[in-house]
Amino acid sequence: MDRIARLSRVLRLCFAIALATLIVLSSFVIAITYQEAGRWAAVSVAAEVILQGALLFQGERLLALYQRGVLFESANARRFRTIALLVVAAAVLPRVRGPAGSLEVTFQVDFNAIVVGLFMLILSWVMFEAAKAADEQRLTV
Amino acid sequence: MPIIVTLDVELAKRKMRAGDLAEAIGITPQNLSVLKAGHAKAIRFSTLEAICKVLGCQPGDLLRFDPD
Repeated sequence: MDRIARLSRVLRLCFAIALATLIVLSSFVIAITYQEAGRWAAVSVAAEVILQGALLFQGERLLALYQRGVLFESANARRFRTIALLVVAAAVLPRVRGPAGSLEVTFQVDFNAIVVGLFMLILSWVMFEAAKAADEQRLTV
Repeated sequence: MPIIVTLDVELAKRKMRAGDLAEAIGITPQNLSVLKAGHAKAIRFSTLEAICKVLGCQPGDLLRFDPD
């Protein structure tokens, strides 16, 4: 239990730093992309950044639960499910590239990420069942 | 839930406090409160046995089925 809390605290800090860095850097990247590749490429980059930011945020919140010792609650399962859906969404997100005037839309599907995302989705369902079992255990006198 | 726990009635009959019963049967007052308030989802046979032993009653005196 202590081990989980300690590692969660360290990882939470890493996630928070990564999220702050992403927010700062992405504003520059989006501005440069807007100037060099146009509006739609900038929107595409912004969508990617939002997904990555949401992933980091959800990860940080999940670790916060672990740090507080909340392991088998439906709140954990919900965070896990959201992370799984974000991973899948990031894997199928279309990318717009190229200079303004000659847009190039690519649908590069990352099958590995989809498999990992779907696996995490199943794990989140297992966690929902675990939360139910923990709830019953807690209310067994 | 249609199962009603009448532990508080049995305690009142014997003029016994919930805390004393909890101590006598070896469970926490919080857990006994969960049982007394009817929030429990299950009760172990060992707990039921201990309560019956201390109160000198039958399991049927502690639980009642009310379909409404």
